[in-house]
Amino acid sequence: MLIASLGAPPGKKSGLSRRRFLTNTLTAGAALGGGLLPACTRRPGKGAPQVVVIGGGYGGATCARYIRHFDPDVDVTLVEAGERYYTCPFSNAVLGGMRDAETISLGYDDLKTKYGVNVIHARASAIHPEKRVVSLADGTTLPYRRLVISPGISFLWGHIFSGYDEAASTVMPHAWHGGEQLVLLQKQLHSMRAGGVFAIVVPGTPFRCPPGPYERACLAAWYLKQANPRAKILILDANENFTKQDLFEEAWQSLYPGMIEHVPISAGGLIIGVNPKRMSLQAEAGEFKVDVANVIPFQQAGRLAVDHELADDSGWCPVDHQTFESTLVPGVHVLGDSCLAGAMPKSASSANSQAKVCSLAIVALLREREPGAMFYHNTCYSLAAPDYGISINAMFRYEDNRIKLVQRAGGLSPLRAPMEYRAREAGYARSWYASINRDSFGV
Amino acid sequence: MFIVDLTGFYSDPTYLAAVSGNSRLRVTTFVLSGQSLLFSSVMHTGNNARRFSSIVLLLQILAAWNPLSAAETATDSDYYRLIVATCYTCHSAAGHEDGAIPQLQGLTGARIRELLNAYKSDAEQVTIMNRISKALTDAEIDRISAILGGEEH
Repeated sequence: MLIASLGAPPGKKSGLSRRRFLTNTLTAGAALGGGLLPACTRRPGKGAPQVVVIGGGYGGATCARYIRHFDPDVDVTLVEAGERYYTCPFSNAVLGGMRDAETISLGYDDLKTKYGVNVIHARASAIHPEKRVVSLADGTTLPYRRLVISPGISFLWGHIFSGYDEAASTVMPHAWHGGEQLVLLQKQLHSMRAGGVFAIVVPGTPFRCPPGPYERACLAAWYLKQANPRAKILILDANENFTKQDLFEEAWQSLYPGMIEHVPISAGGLIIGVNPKRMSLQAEAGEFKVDVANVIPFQQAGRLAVDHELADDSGWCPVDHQTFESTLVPGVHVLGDSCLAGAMPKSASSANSQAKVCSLAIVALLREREPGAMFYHNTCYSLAAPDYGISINAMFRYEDNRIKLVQRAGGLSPLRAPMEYRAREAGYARSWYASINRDSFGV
Repeated sequence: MFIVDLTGFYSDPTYLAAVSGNSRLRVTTFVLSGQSLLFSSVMHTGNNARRFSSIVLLLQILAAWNPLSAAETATDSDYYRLIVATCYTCHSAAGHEDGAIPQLQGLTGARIRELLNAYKSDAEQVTIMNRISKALTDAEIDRISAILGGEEH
């Protein structure tokens, strides 16, 4: 770990030790609150430390909100190009016709009005870490003491499978960012010929939302079972195994017998080429002619991170696990899907948790205090049907300079659980979605 | 439960495999055993000996050997602001009703403590809270309950 480069505001010699057990105290008199504190709309005074957050997904929105929560005297600006954010969670419910696409989008008004975050809808064009300035596409510059970026993922177009690019995605949608792509795939699925084949192409790990493709198969099956019961779903997988596999396979068998076929890499499931004109997928096992193809490309860190040398050879961003400050570029923190956070999966819940840890660390660093102990959490619910939920979760602590899984805690929903248990977790999945949106976006 | 923290050494790849699906391991639980406190403590201190001064090393040894030292770390109020904020990822904040996940508002500290302990020991079987509560030390459960119950700020 590069201790010297971490944690020091400009001009301050870094003498911060990284020992979590020598933590110091919180802002004097700061209340913990029986719940969250009343929103602080107080404007920070002149000369308040400035934090710029780029990217208004779960990581960035939560970070902007929680810096203001932990220290209302910090001036926080959130830079996000879009006026609406389309969530990855519950996008498969849209595909399955359980929800309308607009019901899984969020805006930024509450962060502005309830939490005093400056929100700028613009594209960040460049980061200048040596000057601690961000340039926006319109030429505006924003100075920062600390910069947080949470740029999600970007696609490795053409990696492993040839023939797939942005144009091909208008025929074979990836539907991995929500919005138009999701609506397109939904239309294709819902108008598929009777008895047609819907293929899901799964990229190699790591990718955003590890259970996503398998939940997608479930909720597509739930729709097809009613509307097109002779249809088949084919999962062509660049991996051998997947998260919640036993639970998913149990659900496929009990809810959709004979409908879903999973082809792992060992059975030739790796796709090496796609042909949108012929609607064919070239797998190692041979050519598959399909009716609807959902092709999810291989992934790396978000474009902004890659373009600013925040990613390493893996394509993802190495960070200090206590502060999420880049180990490559001082003063820039990287959150969410883009960062390498030990065993934390690339999920909304992980991004939300990392953002809280990062906010707390930034608030400490701005006050020249040493960040202390940290606790991290991830919970991912998946729906196999509207009344059939399964979950995986894990907790982590900051130990030995890294994010470390807490043993003998967390885990999966049990196999062969009664339907009442599955129904309860389905209800919790919906409730979780409402709550994490409220928590992250201040709704 | 401190032993849980200390003995969980480097088994994260197992979890990684479970979440990334990249391994042939089919993991349904993350329960690992067989690593003794003695072993992990030695590893713990060995790791840090290269990094820190001798005074720090001594403290670290104490932290590794004596669960109470770990508990002292956990009294840091920043840390509890973080943990309590973590509860609100899934549990709606006061004044909002978001469906099936129970609200924390209105529960006394004693009741929250009783529930968390019952989940942790599996005396009461629910769903995910049995898995989450096992990550918390007794001291943490006490403190979180007091804060959520409004007995402590």
